[in-house]
Amino acid sequence: MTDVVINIDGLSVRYGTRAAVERATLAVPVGSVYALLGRNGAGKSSLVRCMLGQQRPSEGRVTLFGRDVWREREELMQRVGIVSEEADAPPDMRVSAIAKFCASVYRGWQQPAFASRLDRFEVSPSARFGNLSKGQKKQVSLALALAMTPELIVLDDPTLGLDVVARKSLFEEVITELAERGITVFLTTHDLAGIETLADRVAIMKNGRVVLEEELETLKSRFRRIRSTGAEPEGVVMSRKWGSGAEMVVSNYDDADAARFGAAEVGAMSLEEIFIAVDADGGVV
Amino acid sequence: MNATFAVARREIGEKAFVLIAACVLALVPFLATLIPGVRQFDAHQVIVTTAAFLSVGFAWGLAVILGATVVGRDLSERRLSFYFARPISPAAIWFGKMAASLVMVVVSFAILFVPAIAFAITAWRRSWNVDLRLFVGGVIVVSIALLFLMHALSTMIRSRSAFVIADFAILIIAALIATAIVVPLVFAFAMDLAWFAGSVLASAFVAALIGAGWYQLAEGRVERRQSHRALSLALWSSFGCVLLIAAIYVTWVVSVKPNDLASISDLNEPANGPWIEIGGRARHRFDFHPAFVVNTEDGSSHRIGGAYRLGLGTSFSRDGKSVAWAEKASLTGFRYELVLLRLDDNTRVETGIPVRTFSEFALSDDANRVAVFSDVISIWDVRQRKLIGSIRPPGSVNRWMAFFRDSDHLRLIGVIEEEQKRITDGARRDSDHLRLIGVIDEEQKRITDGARNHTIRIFEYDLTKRALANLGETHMFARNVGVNANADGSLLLLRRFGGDEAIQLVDGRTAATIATIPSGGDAWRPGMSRILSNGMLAVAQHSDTDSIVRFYSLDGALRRELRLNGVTRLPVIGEVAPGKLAVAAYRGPVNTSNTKNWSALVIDSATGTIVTKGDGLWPASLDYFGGFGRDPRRTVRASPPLFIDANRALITWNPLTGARKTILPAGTAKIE
Repeated sequence: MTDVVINIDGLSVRYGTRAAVERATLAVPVGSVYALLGRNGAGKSSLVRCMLGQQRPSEGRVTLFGRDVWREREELMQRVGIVSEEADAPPDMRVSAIAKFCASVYRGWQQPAFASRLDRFEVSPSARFGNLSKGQKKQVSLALALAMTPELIVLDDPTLGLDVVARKSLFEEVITELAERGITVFLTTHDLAGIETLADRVAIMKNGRVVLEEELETLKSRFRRIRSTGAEPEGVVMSRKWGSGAEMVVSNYDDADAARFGAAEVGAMSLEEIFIAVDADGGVV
Repeated sequence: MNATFAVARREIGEKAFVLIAACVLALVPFLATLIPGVRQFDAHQVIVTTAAFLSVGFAWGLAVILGATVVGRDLSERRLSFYFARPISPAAIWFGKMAASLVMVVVSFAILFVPAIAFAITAWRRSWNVDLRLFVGGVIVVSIALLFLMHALSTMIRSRSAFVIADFAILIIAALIATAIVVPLVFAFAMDLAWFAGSVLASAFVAALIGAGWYQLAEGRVERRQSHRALSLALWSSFGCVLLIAAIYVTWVVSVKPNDLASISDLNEPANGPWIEIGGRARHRFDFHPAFVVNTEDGSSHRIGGAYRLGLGTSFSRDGKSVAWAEKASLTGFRYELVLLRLDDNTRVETGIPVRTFSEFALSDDANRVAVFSDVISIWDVRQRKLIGSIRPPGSVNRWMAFFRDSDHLRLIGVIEEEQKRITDGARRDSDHLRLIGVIDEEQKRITDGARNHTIRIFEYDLTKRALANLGETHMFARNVGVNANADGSLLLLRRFGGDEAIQLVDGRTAATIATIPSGGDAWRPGMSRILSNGMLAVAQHSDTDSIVRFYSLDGALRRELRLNGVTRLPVIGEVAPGKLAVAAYRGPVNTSNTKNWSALVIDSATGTIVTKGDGLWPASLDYFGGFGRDPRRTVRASPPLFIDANRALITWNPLTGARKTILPAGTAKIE
């Protein structure tokens, strides 16, 4: 078994003359929780569709478990659970019918696991999918994705439109499942706080390009907010005026160098703050 | 396959309400009988008629809706990812969805139609003149076509891509090409082949739609524009290949050459010139029966219309330099127009002269005028494409013969047959029954032969005065009357079949009798006869075992005769040189036909002897057997006659030298 579950190599997606994804390259190690971040229109969904073999890229190649996803999608999907950005199950179908349908196409379908998860989410199996709330739809999608015993689970903006409680519940479900099975998780999200404690590795997309990709801990260790009255150091991602000095975000912070440019205050940054800094106009990684 | 069933089952489950609606609607035909205004009609007929319209409308409407939405809506509403996120192949998604749609359509149709037809099957048979299986099959086939066509249209339109304009442009071009493929076959009267080609193209288009739908999902998957691109690429490239193959085949079909003929069913020769017309069945071309004019001297040929199959024959001008035939003037109707080919310079003239099925026409000697025989006889100027005369034929003329005496005068010979029942005076017309009851009266015996009074009336239409003159008439008692004229039409030889079987020589203008040639007696049946250019009459007669050729002078006196022992059939080909008569002789039982038993003979009327002989020559033209042509002037033959030799080659045989020349190669010529 390969150490890399997802390997995206030089992926480009173009719609006419517009480039949605431009030469994206990333690798998702087995057992990791990988978060792909980016603003709306950054190219995440196009990348995910290509990654799942649902869309042919204009350039580049995607492999899942070392196999070409475009050519071998059907077989690979036996190993990948997916929670799509938009609830795509037919609205007239009852939850139980969707489960029955899935049971007929997945070799590793576990009906008891699905039933117990539905129970936990308090979703009735006889409910029509279209009548469920947004949160319930996501919960059903997650239950479906997990019931087929996936080795990889792809969550495409799973918290979109969910309230705080539902968001928390969804992440807790993922965490529980991860603890139980050690499966690889790839997710795209805008809920940076939610995944900050979950993700092992992050990538940030900006205007179709992957501008940053590394371990979350490393990322957080090298980004700092510095308030200084001295000279501006090298590696500044973003800066703004702060009293008589400046508040800066640096991307290659080193404790030994802090005194060199007269730092008055050095603060750690959250993932959300790092994302904002990187994504800002003129933001440099 | 499992996934296909799963998808199909899911789709049917989602749309089960359609079947419930069909069940409710199935009551409508029965309830319709209760409507006050409808009660006056037969209830069973109301039920089957209502059910037929309702079921067809419902099935086709459902096919349109499902075709437009079953994939297209999922694609535009981004719900196809539900399937593509799962281990299901594009083929399973496509065929599962489409199979489900078809099941919905067929089951809905059955729910609406079957109860009514089961209840009132006799009313169906009585009021609908349509085979039930054909009706059901037609509804299903159209439903399939609608389903896949609507899917393609829906994908194209929903993609919101400018490429849809290209699709419609390609569609129009493809339709034009398909039409261009079928039209030449229709115009060549190859209706079976045209129907076959049209069916193949239509089926191929539906197959291309089916294949393109699968390719769309395999290559386009959840992305709208990629889906559209994949669909269009597959649809137009696959259908384009079929069109190309069909176009190549049809081009090959219509580029047929005379040597491709496998059998001959039409053969015409003018009195003069090297050109002949041959029509028949060609190899590997189904019912495409081409016709050609072929130059027997240099082998060159032109394909002409094949309307001879509709009774629209080909006509040469007397000088042999022009040939006219009818071609279809519209794709769907039964309008035909006369086309003229000037053989000297290969100039095709679309005359615009309308002709109808089974119309015949006669060209003037220079082919500048043509008379078309239909309910009326219309005379046209070919160069001016103008109607210059029209004759409503005097009533009761059964058969017309005609020729242009000159450019301004059309000589018409009308044969009027008196109704037999008037002669039999109430006797049964069935001759076998009359024989059985033993009627031996001489008059009745004649009647049993089918003989009746014939009036032969001669007219002339003067184009300068636009007047029809009745020149004269004569009467004959015969089963049928054959008419031959000499080269200028000044003499007519009227040959009786049945009756007393005598031959009458009359004035070609007044019909006044010049001489009567008696029949050969009871032992001899009348054969064919000709007026020779040296003033002799040649008459062939047969017994059961032998034949005889007798030569008479114009006053009816027997001058010479040549008995041909063992010859049971003796078609007269014509005068091939002054005073020299070509005949074909068959030795063997009358009811057999074998090429080796046929021989061609040239008999000198001056000596009554055979001057040239060719063995193993089967006379190729029906005219040699006495076919009734429009122009009676079949006396002089300036061109070598046509035969089929023992190797089934169509040849010309020079009656003076005996030289043979192959027109169609060995093994190709077979008279049908």
